[in-house]
Amino acid sequence: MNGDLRGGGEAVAVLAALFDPGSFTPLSDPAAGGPDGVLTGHGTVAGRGVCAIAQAPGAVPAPAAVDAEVRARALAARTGRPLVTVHDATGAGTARGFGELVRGAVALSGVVPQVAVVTGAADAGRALLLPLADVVVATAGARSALADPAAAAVVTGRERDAAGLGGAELHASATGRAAHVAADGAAAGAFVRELLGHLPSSNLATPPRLPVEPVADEQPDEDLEDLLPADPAAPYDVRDVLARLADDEDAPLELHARYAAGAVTGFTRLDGRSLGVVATDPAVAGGALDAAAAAKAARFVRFCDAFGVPVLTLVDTAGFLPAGEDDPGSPTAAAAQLLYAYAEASVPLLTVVTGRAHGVAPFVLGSRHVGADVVLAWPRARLSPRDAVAEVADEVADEVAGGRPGPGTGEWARLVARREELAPPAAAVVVGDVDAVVEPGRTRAHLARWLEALERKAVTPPARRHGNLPL
Amino acid sequence: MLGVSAARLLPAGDRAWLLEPADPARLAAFARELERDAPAGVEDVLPAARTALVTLRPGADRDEVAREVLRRWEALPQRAAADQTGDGDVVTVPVRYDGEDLDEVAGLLGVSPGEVVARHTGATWTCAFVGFAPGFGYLRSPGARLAVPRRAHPRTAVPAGAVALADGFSAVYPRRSPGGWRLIGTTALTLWDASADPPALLRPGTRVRFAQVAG
Amino acid sequence: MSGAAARGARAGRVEVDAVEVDAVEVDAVEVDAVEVVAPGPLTTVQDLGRPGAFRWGVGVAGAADRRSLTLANRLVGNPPDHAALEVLLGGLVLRARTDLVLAVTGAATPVDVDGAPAGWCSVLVLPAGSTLRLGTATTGLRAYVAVRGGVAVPPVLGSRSRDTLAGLGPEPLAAGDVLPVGPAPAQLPRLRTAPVAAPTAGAVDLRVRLGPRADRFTDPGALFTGAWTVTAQCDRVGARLTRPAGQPPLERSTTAELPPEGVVLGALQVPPSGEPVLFGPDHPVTGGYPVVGVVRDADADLAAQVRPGQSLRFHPVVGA
Repeated sequence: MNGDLRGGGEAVAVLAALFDPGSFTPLSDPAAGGPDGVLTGHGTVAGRGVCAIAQAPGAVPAPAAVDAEVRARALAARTGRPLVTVHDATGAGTARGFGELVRGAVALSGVVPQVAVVTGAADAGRALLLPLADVVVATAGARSALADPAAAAVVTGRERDAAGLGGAELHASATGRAAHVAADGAAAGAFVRELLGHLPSSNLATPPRLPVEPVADEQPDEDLEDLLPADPAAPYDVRDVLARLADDEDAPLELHARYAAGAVTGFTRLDGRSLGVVATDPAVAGGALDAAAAAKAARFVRFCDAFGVPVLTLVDTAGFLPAGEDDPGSPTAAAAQLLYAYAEASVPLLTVVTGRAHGVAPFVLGSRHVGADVVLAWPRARLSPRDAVAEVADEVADEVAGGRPGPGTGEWARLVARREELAPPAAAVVVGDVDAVVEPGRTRAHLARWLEALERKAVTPPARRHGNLPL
Repeated sequence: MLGVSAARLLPAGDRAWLLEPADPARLAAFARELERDAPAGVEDVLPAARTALVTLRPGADRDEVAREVLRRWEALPQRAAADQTGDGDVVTVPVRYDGEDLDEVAGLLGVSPGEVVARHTGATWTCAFVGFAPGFGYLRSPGARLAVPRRAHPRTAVPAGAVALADGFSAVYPRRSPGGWRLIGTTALTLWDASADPPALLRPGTRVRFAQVAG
Repeated sequence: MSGAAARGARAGRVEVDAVEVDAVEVDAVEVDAVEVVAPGPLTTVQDLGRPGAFRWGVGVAGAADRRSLTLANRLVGNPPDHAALEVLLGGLVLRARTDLVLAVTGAATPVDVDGAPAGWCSVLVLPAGSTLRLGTATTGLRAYVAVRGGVAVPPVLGSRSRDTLAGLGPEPLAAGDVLPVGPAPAQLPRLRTAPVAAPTAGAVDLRVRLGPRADRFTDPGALFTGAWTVTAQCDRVGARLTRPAGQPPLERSTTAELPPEGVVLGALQVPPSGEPVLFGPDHPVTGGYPVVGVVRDADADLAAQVRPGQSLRFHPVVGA
């Protein structure tokens, strides 16, 4: 094939859009006498080396094809290059072959970025291989399911439709296993190309930094505040805010945009540096995190930490989703994972409290106390364990219970408003929850200076096999 | 062999049962009995042609209610069929027999319009159940010999007070509404007044006589 | 005054003495409280309905999404069964004639007070003279606007709910209407924002218990295969469902007539066309077509937020 990726098939289309033109060099190519069913090789993406494995659509790959996959993984490991795998087949022929793929993927985890792209069916064992990658991208027609459809039909009594069999739509929205759905192979390749631009080649490298005009030379963004409603409970789109904080006002490259929408996760750039972003979304359930959103954020923070990408956290939240502990949706376990992820992280952690910070969630979400290097707050931020309504209700409840008349509607509202005024971010600076109160329009400049200062942040982890993440 | 007390309970969602007895004649009496002394967890009872819907309060134990409903059905006195109102009231409805479909009804039955009126006023009707609209009672009289089918094309508006026949039932439209029944007369009597207590003149078990008044 | 002094004396509390507190809580119905500037496509007064009126041929009616109604009431400190406004798709504009405390729940609806964006599922304060405006809902079908004290129109047969089929209860709101508000309850609002998820724009999963007339269908399980689409024939009485050709139809095994029998909220009644009608709160009390199954009571609230064009998937509830 030698650099020519014009062949047919979605899998080849992924590679064609991913690699710099003419850079792909096959390692195992059916057209050049390699085993059928798999094309492996390496090339460059924006000038940096990347290894790739692409399956031909269809049947269970032959053992020789699995061997070719294993060798390509080994190359990625030896040379410290990201690995992109394109899946369009079911199973791996033999348990031994499958085992080698799994052990290869686990060995590479946290060593080089691994991105899986599903263009066809990735069923049975392959459905388990996918989540071992850092990011899974699906094309619209892809699907992935662990259970044999016939067995599932017998047990559940339902002949499942395509969605029930694990279509891309399902995995993008309901299960969250697909981080992104692309229209076709070319779009998937382009997405992966952009994603890799935010990541280092390996855990030993640093993420690429793009040349940009110095942030310090910019005028303050006076219009950013116009995006923010005066009512602290009013929803706004945090993506708009993220775009205004980014170089070129680019929206973040979002992962899992349609899953667990209470937390926004993705990559952005500030001062040319790659930055992982975790933001609560005030437009979703008052910015409250449910179990899925907490788990999504936790995995993303660990992904960034593994590859040295600083994490920017934006906080405007009414807290974790209140649920009974017996409720299957209780966020407690996932919140502990998120707490662990932040506390464990050794990359620069920058946090901006943009609005409400009520309940335990702001403590978990990159607070000073779990290890953030800097916590900034906007003047509209309100850092208090509870909202003013709750405070005043408690205050007056004793009177009402004691038979004394409580305040009328107007008076009550004035009490609430007054109490809200009494929780400005300046108070949080005094007690050490916040380092500085900054105007929204000056936030970019502050963050750029902190990223500069934290460039050589080094944390020596204690010697241990690994920590015990509360899974 | 099914006895007269035999009945089955069909599920109607998680907050209702549908009681379907072999002998539906006592359903109105059964409904009154449950209204008088509702078993724990029962919210309301709606008798109909051959069934009674028993709805449950939120959180009620479905199985417990089912057992109690069946027990109460079996315990219902046999004579209840004969004395459905419990209070012996008979409502008299004055009717002008000037309905648009009176001649057609007579034709369908092969009798004169006068004979239709005679049969209608000669029978004692019992409200078997209510439905369709507030205060709309399905009146049954087994011996009335006035069974005619509905109109093929329902009217978009039937005036309040219209006295009508269909499917072996007679009824009085309590309010202006669409309707497919055959109209034989009109009454000035108010059958439905939401602000009154009780709001409806007819309820399951109420006995009704129609009396001809001059047009 | 003594109340304020008592508060000021409490140790560890922030001083709020400067605020004068009304000596007397408004205790009676405030007749002239809320002015309807624009009602939107359809806004009705709803509470939890009038159960217990079957004897008069009167159904339950009440809020279509009871969970959202009770949430709105809890937010403003009302008992759960207070009457509130059910707003179809948004568009409602209200002007406060007295100081009001409100909450908007249900369909995800942009809310503003005098033009300033305000919170959804949160406690809103409307000073006398200010205007509350609901935009068009982004997801979901019905928003609920609860006002502290409850909408105090006169009840009919024990409920303030509008039954659109029976024509009972208060008329749908019209521009210029002025609504009374009841006395404020003792309970104060306890939370500014209720963090709840907005109704989905995607497929909605509903659990269905088969019966009472599943035996009148050749394959009642066809209900659970694939998805159904809500048609434009969708109101408080019911929603007609359809689906593309090729999906298994709900075929009746008998054409024998079914004498009228009681039906319930969430019943899936199947006319001869085979396209079911999912009954809403204003369903007729009796029906003449067989009911293949009934949506679980808890899921009826989800069904109330499904828009025309959205799809439904039914899942069986096992058990008697």
